[in-house]
Amino acid sequence: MPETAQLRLALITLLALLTGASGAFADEETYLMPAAFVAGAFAGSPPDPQVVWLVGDLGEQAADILGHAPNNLRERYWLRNGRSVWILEEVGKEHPFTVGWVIEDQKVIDTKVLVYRETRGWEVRYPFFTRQFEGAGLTAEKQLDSRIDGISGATLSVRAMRRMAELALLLNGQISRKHAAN
Amino acid sequence: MRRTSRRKTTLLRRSHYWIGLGLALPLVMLALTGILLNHTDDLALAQRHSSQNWLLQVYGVQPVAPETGFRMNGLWLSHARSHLWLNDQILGESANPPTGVALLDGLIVIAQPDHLRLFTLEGAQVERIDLPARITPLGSIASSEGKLLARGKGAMLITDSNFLQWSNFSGPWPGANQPQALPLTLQQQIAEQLAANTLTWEKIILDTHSGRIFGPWGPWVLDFVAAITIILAITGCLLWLRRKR
Repeated sequence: MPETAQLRLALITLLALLTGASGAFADEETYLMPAAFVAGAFAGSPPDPQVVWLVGDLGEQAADILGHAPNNLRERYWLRNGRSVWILEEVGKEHPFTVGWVIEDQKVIDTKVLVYRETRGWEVRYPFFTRQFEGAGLTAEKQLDSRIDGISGATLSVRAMRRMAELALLLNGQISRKHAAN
Repeated sequence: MRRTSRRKTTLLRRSHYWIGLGLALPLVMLALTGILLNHTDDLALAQRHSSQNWLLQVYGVQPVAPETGFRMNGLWLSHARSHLWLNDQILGESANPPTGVALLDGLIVIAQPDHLRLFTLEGAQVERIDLPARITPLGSIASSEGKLLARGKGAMLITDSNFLQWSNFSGPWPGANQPQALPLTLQQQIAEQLAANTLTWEKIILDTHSGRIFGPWGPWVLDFVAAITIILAITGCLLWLRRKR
């Protein structure tokens, strides 16, 4: 085979490998099963799930936070001794990714990216980023009261994480009031 | 000696001018597409689609439509190109085709191998529910007396009306909704919608910038343009130096 043809073949192979690799990144990646996250938040024995409907005033507040209508008309949560767990999904750029949130005393105490489906921005799964949410609460304007530093190249996923944190805190406030009233 | 040098300078200048003229168009194209790519998020280019016939032909996008679907009270649910379709409207993303569908208390329940998705009849998603491990991968679902039955891995489970608790079910399996041939008019409508929602402007601009839109040789041609641009920069510097002398 002439040298130029060999070079061309090598380049095409390299290109095909790179294309294949980028395609692989586009696939869904599960870092932790949602059920395992919920179980972990309650020392292995989670309570029965409950649901909250995002309709009426709560639906409007959720839409204000998300910048679009809520993805689900109702969200499932697990609650025991003032600790609630939420599994939320939000689109960063093109595909929704799944994040678990643990909330206690109106503050985020733990968060983990569970399933990631975007091609870029997966750095939001790393603890150096997720740790920033620990201790975050909601202001009267329904915004996070803690500063969350962004990640270059993951701007949309970072924004989606902020929106999910605000939504989880909003929903937690709602169910806390409901359960206190009962 | 001076005459030879002047001739060289003239040759260099002419080459520089003509090469520059030849590169003007591809460089403008690269610059414009580069600017657009820097602002894909702001311009929401990944969310905007092109339905231009000639572009679809360039990409070889063929009309594809699902041939079968699940029928429920006059509604059709089908799956094509990683999306669930309710009649001719996209219901949501889904990598896998549904394994079963049931209509329950005004909700459409769509079964996937490891989860359920609930939708209103208007197409709004109510919830996505992960299934208990003892019935995944899920075989099929059915409804019985307002409750959902799920079958998989040899086990049958029944859920409460809120889909919160699952318990074993030992009664007779009522039979599941089976896929049927999708009406041809609906197939055509979905094919048209698919064609109109396949190509994003982000992909078109990215492929124009890289040259891939021009075929297999496109990237090589743009590599050549890039190499010539480097030469142009060098000849430009040489001309500047010679003029200074």
